[in-house]
Amino acid sequence: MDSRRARALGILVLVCLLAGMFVWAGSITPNPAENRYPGNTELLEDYEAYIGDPVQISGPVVHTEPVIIRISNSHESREINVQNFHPSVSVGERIVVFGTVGDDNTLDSDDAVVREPWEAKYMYLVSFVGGLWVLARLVNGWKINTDRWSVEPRDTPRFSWGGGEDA
Amino acid sequence: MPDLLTHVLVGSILGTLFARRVSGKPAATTTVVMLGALLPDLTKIQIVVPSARMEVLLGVPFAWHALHTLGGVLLTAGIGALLVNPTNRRRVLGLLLAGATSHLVLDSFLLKPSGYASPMWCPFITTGLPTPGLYVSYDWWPTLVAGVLALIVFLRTSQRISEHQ
Repeated sequence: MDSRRARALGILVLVCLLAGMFVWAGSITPNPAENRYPGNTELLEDYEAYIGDPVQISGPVVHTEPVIIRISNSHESREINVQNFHPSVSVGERIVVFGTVGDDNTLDSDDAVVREPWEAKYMYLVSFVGGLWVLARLVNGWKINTDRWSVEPRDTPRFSWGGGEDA
Repeated sequence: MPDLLTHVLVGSILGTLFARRVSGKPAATTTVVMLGALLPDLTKIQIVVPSARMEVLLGVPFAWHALHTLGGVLLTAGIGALLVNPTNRRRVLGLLLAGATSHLVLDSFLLKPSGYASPMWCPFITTGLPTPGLYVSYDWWPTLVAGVLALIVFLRTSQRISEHQ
């Protein structure tokens, strides 16, 4: 029972389930009682609704003394004055901060994580290397069998070093 | 996530260890676990197409984050397993899931200001679980530790193989 049609049907079913999960995950709303805190999106949509509530937001520092960060989505942004924030930061660094929403674009900070610009570049660079490594290994050790439309291991890798199997 | 390279290195450690025990080609086996370790970060598609844009396009709630959950990786690993030939299918499913689960476990230790990780065990656990906050995603030391361990495991395994020959 492994006709091409059965496999295609199986893949279709899984893709539909995945699509369902995207929608379901999108419908899960933040709920502090379940440790899911509102973030940038919620605060940008309806700031007033979250006054007095805990939120976890993130954005670049646009001003120090007082510390102000800009939270944004694809079409709008808002500047938030982060109070009781003690780590020293400079403009351009990015912070993720957990705290309580106050009146007039303020946040009473409880805890925060600071990321310097080079750290983001580092992360993207090494992540790219990681992805490339896996891609190279896949191309080296696996092939697409167009007769059966399936992916199979190669009998011998395209390239192996030391004559061994562990290329 | 810790950076992708750390996840891939951990995948290579697990893959190399599994490859000793399962039949099939060791290098190909290791690659599958490394690929599995990438699966949850398919969610990074949101950098290109934000979930909010998908909501506008489709008119329904939408979150790419589902890919970065246990339920999501069960489905993506399932799709991956159906793409391979029948003889390798079950093995590939197990190896992809092992890699993907290692990714989620490592990510549940990430430092979050709120003290709680994102709900990545959906749909089985929808609450955020407390995180010990061991590292942030741009720390370099987890990569170093994973790299050294991966190298040790790789060298010891190669040594074993050459002793057997």
